[in-house]
Amino acid sequence: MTAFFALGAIGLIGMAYKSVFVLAAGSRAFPPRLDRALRFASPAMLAAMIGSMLSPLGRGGAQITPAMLLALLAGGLVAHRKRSIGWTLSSGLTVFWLVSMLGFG
Amino acid sequence: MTATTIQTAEGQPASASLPRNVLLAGARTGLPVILGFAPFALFIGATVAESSMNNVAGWAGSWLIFTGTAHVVAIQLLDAGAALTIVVGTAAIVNLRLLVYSAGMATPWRSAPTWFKILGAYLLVDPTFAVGSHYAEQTSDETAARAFYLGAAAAMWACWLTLVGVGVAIGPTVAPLLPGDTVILLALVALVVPAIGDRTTRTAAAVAVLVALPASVLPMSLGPFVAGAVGIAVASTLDRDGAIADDAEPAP
Repeated sequence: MTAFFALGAIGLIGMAYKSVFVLAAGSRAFPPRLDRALRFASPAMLAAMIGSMLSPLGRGGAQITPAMLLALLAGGLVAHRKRSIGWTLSSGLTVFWLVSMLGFG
Repeated sequence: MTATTIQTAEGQPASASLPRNVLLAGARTGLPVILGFAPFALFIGATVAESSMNNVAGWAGSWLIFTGTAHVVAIQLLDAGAALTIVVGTAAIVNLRLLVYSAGMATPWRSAPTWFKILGAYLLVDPTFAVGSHYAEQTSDETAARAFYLGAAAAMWACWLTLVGVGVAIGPTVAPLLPGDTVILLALVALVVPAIGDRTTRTAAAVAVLVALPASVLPMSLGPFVAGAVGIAVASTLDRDGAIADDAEPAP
């Protein structure tokens, strides 16, 4: 019961975060400066999550291996060329498994 | 700004004249994205299974919270016997980035009906924001943008709940076999690359990565939020001051 209550409370706070601007904005537009800044939200927040995972300092950081780095490089190149999530994942994972099989995992 | 192009799972431009087709196009685009997070979902399920928490209650977090990081932090803290206020407070800080996503979707959803705003906000997490905001940038048809988001987000939601459930059942066996960190990083790369369309967005991403490296020592997973905010602030300042010219703008 305690777990349900805690998870529900976290969910409600998360819902408040997610809806505050969406509902508060109504039919009004944000100031142009804020509107322009918000187009950086997606690349900045996603890149920050990548940087955080790659950091050797954080507790939640990934364990970086040559296979992982090569997989990310390959995935990044394919993402740039194809802009396709499926291609990015499949090419990156193929490189990861190939390099791991060669003993660099 | 150079227009970014979101493509469907088949690699074709995700455009359709009927909202139903756009909904399906969104679902087809959303599914491979969330499948990229499958190892993370399995890991969360495994964490629930290995904790002292009731499995159903632990799994319920996947739809009550619907953000993986806060969910797993909450499970671990509850399992460790942390006070309720600590559990809720920590998860609330971990989820602060959702405020940015809400602000980001406020403009595209300005004319949306209230039911959509509430449902859309509930489904708003990292991958749904990435897919939805990219498509909204690509089209001037707000109805199509909302249909695409809803299709993608609903597919991701259903798939996420299923995957966490599978994780509860078989996660402890399967999770160690998957390169979880690599898959999540590849999924994030696949989401961020299409969002980088010009020099200002490149700057925002580069600054965020550079700040995130040292900021990852910050407590309670505040690092990504701080790094993302700095990336947005720096790119906005340079953009406002004209220090960075858009690639698409003609030379004087």
